[in-house]
Amino acid sequence: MRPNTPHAVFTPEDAICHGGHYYAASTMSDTFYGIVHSFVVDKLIANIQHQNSRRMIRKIIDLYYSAFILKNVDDDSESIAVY
Amino acid sequence: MRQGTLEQIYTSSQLRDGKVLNALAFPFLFSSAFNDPFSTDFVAYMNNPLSEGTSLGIPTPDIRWGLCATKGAWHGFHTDSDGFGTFIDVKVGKKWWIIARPAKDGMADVTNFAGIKTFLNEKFDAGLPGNGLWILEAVLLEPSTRL
Repeated sequence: MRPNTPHAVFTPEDAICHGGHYYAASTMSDTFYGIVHSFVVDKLIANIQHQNSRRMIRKIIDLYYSAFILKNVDDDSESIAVY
Repeated sequence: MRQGTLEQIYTSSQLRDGKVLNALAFPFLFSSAFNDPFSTDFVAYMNNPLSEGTSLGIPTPDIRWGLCATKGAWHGFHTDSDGFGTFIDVKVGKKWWIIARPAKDGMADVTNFAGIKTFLNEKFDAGLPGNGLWILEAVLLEPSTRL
């Protein structure tokens, strides 16, 4: 599910789930919109906060800087595909 | 929100008239991160020379977690925090995931949710299905399926 997506969840049967979060380059704009909405309306729309998420974004900024400014990336790396 | 235990959830699940309970965000401290096609964050941690010497590690408990709920649980309209994308694997039972997309002129313009009034709109009510603010699509998630 892409970032900043309003959604609701119903449980028709007792359920156990595993889940996860991620940041994708392809939806980084939505990530930004989501962060701003979370900041402005806070618990009206989001039920938790992850302070460590900012550290993850910093890592991605570092990655972009390394790749596009320092040209410090292996062109053959599969990682280039997710920029 | 109330405090309780997993044992209480299990007990309720075994009762004919057990309470409807919903427990979210159990952090998986020892879960492993993995490289999926969407995780730019994973690439940033694993392939970034600028990170050397500055890394505090991947915040696994923030991005890998579990949840459980008994039949009938309902979580009203919201977005996930911190601009995160989200995946869900159903291990047991079922989840009915109701996802909104913008209703602007019938076009799937996702930037519509960028508007500053998206959630400050007088029509927005977390307990209601959008009041025309968006179009809803629902996905029934069963074991072995991933959102």
